Amino acid sequence: MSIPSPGRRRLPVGLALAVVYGVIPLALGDFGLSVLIFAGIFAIGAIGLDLLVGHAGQISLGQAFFMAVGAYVGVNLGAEAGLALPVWVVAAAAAGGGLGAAVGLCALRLRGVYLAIITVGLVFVGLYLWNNVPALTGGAAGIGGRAPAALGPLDFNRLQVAGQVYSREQAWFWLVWALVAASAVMAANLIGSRTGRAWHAVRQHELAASAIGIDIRRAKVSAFAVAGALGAVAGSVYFGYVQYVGPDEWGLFLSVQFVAIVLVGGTGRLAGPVLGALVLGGAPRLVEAVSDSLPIGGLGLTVANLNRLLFGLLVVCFVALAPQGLVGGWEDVRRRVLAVRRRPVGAGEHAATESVATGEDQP
Amino acid sequence: MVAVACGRGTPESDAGSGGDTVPEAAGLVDAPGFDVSSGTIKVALLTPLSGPVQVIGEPLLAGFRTRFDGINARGGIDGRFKVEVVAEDNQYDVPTSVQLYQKVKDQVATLALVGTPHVNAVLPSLEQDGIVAIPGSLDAGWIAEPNLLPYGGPYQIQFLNGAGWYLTEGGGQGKRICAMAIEGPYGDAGISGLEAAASAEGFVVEETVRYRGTDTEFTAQVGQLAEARCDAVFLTGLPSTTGPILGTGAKLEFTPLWLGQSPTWSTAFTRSEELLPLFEKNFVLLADGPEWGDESEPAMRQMLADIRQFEPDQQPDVYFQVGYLEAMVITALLEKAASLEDLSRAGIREALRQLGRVSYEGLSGDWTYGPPDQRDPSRVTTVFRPNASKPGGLEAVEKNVSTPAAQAFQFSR
Repeated sequence: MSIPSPGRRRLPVGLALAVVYGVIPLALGDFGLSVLIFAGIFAIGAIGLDLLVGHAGQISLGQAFFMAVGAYVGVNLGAEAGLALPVWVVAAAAAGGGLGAAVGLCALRLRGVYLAIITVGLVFVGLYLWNNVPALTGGAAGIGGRAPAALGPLDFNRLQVAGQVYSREQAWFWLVWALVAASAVMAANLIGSRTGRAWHAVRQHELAASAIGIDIRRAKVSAFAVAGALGAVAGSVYFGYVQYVGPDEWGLFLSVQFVAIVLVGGTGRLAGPVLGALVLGGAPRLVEAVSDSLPIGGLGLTVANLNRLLFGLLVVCFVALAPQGLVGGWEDVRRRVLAVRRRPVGAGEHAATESVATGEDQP
Repeated sequence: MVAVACGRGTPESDAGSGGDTVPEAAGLVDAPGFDVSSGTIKVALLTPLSGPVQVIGEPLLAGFRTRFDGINARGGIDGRFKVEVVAEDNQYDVPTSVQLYQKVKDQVATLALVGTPHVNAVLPSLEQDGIVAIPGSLDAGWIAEPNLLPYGGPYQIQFLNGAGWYLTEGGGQGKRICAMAIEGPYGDAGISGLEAAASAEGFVVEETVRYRGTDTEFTAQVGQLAEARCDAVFLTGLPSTTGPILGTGAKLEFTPLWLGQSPTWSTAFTRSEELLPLFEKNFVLLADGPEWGDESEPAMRQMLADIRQFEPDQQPDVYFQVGYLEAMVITALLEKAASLEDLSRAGIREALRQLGRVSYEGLSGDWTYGPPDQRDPSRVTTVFRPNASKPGGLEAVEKNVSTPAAQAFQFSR
């Protein structure tokens, strides 16, 4: 039996995703689309965080800070200055990337819990700034406005194609998930590049990486910069969609949510953050939808409290029982199934074990 | 091909926020949230039913439902249409509010939502979808929003009237007046009201301190007020912070008169043996409407009758009263739209434009609606003192205070 090459296997998957991308806004209502838009926004930021955590092996609880930076760039360059969508998104990425690099420089000598504390501090510094620089952030009152969202003839704030008007949720679904795809492609290219290999080496063993000539400083700073840039892109798109941001939205819980997304989806795997964002973004609404048939009232639980409980349990379960996350778990199951299917009739356990160990079916 | 057939955006001419032409009275037809055949109008309430602000959201929903239960029992809107309430828990979380708005927008004729940031986040969508909504906060900024139907005396008015009362009836002449306000537009509104009062009444705000809604420790701020030797502190905040703030003051042996905006209060204070004496001695609440059980006000009489009939276990609660009032606001709007024979979104916007003077029958001050530049909010405030022996724990010290400064106050449009 011939085995299709990874490239040939990816083609039908890509086509299927493209069809889903095109059809979902036509099949789902605005509520479902709004849930998916927020999931997509979180996926962008989580892809960035996964590059830092899953590939470069650094810890960060500061993604909320970078998201806020991007949101306020969107406010000032998009809504206030009226600059075009590509300008405010790229400017957000540049601002987030620059600040991420600065944080990376500060964090060069730190590891583990010390690094985590530094990034937590960043969130609190941010909260002070967002509240006390009203000229840029609207202060504690927050700030609203509509940022231009046109790409050529396509205005995503009021999308009209061939005389057909699309709802804002339909349009923003297409925009946000196009950005998710672009972020994923960029991440894939980075992972396969020299920079990505340097990140992996740093994650595996920093001293060894240094010994073979890898510039540790450059690897760490670049990982923080990319994570910051994608966090800021997520923030700018968040503002573009919601059209209002207030400082209370950028607290530590948001950073924890990003970490949870990466852990649940699977660290170090490209699809992990996307799947994690879909699961953690969609699960609460799914629980609400089926809440009438759940016997939670008898337990004294509201739907929202049940969702909080499930969020906590999911994180604990994945960290304790399935640290490879959903994608890692799926890969594991798939490898085992393929190994069993390929095992020649009469062959013993040894063949299957060998197949798994060699990892010949890994994408 | 499929894509072309599945767009569902609102054409420019169907949406919008104001300046609409008067719709033709073409008779009642089905519209979002209105079903002609069943004669049902659906309205939504997005309110926190979980989390720390649940203490406000639950009684508010109960009041909202009770009012519509009563309306339905009395024949419905315009004697013809029953109202069905769609309640959603926004968890006081902005993304959740945005998602829930998308969930309910095509199911309901109008909606009310709690929380200033949440109203701000949904406002652009309201304008785009041409939906009129009731903002569940007394922020004066809503007066200028053509798609919003505010109610009650704005926070500025509460402090203007509160300061006037304190200087005359409250023995505050010559006393040192200070402010403590939560960060955000709500706190800003309170401070601007107090500053306007200072300018009109000729006193000085000796000290102003701010705090964050998530703070749990207030020693620094309260200590600053104590150092400024404040005799009265005008307090803007939420029930979750009022108790700790007064408690901190007591620990520091600083016991000024605290004059709180309406959202600083919770009936739960009267059930705390530790807090109750402190509140009864050192706190007055500046809010709308009569005390619970004051049947001299027609709306209170009706509310108590509705409670007896539909919600007999309901305990007196100021947020129940607020929910009931929000339902009265929606009732006035829908009655007008029904009288125009148009319960479509355009019809409801037109109803708001033509609504004119609305009396809330003593449950809150009257409002004049219309286009933003013609709106005139309620300018009355009631001064309450905590009193555990009263239903709801509040006793009206003086009803319907309305100082010349409050009447002359100009809201920015």
